[in-house]
Amino acid sequence: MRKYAAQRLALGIPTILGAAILIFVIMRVVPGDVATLIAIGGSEGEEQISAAAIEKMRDTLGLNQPLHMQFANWMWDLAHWDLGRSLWTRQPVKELLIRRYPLTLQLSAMALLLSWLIAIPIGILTAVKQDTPLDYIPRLVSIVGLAIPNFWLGILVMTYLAAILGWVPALTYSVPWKDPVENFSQLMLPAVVLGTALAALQTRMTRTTMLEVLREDYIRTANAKGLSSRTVLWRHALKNAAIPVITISGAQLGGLISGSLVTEVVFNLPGLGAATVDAVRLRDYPVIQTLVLFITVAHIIVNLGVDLLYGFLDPRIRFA
Amino acid sequence: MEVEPRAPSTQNVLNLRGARWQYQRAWLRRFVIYKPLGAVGAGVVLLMFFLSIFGSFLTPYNPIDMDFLARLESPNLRHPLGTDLFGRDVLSNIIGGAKISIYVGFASVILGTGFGAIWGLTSGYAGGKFDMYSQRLIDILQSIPTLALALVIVASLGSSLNNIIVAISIGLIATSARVVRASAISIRNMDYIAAAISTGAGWRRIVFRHVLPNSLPPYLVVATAGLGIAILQEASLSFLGVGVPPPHPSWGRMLSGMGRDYLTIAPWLSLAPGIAIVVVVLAFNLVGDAFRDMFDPRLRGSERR
Repeated sequence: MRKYAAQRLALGIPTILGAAILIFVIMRVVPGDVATLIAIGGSEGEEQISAAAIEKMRDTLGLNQPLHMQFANWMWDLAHWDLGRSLWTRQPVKELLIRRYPLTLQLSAMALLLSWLIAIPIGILTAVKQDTPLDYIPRLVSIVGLAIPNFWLGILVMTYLAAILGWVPALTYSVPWKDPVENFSQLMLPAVVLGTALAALQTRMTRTTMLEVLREDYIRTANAKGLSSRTVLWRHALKNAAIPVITISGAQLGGLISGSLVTEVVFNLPGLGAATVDAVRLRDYPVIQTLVLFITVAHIIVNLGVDLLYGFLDPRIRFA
Repeated sequence: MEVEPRAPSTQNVLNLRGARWQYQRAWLRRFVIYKPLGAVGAGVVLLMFFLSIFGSFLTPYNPIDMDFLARLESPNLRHPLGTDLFGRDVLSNIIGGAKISIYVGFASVILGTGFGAIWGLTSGYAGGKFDMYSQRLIDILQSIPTLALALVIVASLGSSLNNIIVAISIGLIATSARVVRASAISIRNMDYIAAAISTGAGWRRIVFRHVLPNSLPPYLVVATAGLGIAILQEASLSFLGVGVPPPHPSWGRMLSGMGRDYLTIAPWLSLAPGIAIVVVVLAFNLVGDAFRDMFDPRLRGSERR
């Protein structure tokens, strides 16, 4: 087990480095010059920006150095836990991350928990009641759910709930340790929107693997022993059926961060996703590249964790 | 695919063609009977193709024509799906948007999964160092969440129709490369490949006559799933303000810009494009599901309905 973990970990490091190179290269193929853009700044009226000013800006941004030096500097700073500063506000990215990440993390956790609460019971139900209306209807709902653009669902839910119930979530975000009720009421809707989207895929996965597992010999044995069907389903069948569901949840958890990109914007939540979108809109390059790298690293760590869990749950994988 | 024989002179060739046609008809009938949902999805996809080719002759109005006397009209006989803030006909925009959605979907899928498939095929068939390095590169590509990657690419290249296609297609490379590689590896170890080698077939013949056609089914499944993903991605990018730029009509832009602002007083502005997206993505997913069930023998018993 330890060797397996070490192997997986060793593979993660070059992947992170490669992702950093990729992000860096994409950010550098920009046709427009960042320095000019910033030198012009907000003052769009002033067309005449002196070449000297642009040159000075390029110097301060370190854009005059050769590419590999720029990359090395970025990595060096990152290694020293210096994540750079925003081009516009001069605010350190580190502060941005500390201030905004907890919200995204909380939202992801709530959405994932909710999706399990929905998907696993329904997935089991559809597998047990295969080819009956109790199978068709949830399957229909989940396949339609996969086709709905997430942000659109968010917009509809928010607008119509506000119109019908006259209830509007507070506009300013409150942290959970100060006002848990307020915080929960704010994150509930986005978590439901995100969670149902995740549940759509998980339900299908649970159903498919349950159907496979229920045909296995040991299930027949368990039934023949006279165990109650509840024990057979939840203790015997679910244990093996859960593995692919966990894998897919892990992949989803990594993707949740980019899913919350859109959801946070819809619900006006100041999380990491919204911060990334803002940075893209402002072309705030140091912020974009660091945030996207951070998201990527989080994605890799989650997948690594899932792989390890997978090896733990199913010993056959570890030794393969 | 049916190929027109150059000289259908002998009776034999005609019989062969007849038999093949009969086989294809039987296959089609089986598809419709056993996969009714897949057939419905395929019907919607065909309708989309029809609209995207002939849509400009069918639209009652020019999608970008403004009529300030008919602003924010609710659905009526002259405008079946109503009009927007500038008096543009919503139905015409939906039909026009079908073309863009189909274009974005197919172009990015052909580009992204096509590149991925060639990469996967080469890497799976060649094996060795090339395969190992390719796998690590694909790991890297897959490690960046697709929407974040697309957002960064569009931000860096600027949002034009073609840049959006590039951004979406890059996110589709990894999955198709993985899937095609896996099937190429399993095919490479089949007995019939050894047989082909023993008869003296060159690598070209083996790859193009044996490995490529046999790894097509899993590729098709990934590609149809990719179509739905691409259309949803375009909608998300539009919502974030970096989607398909005007004057192209875009479903994503319709439902996120004006559609959102006027949701309570003019719900048709958001509902029409939203439902259009759901129907089309659903159609692609249904076709993809039907393909998967037919091609994956493991699922054949349990899901054949």
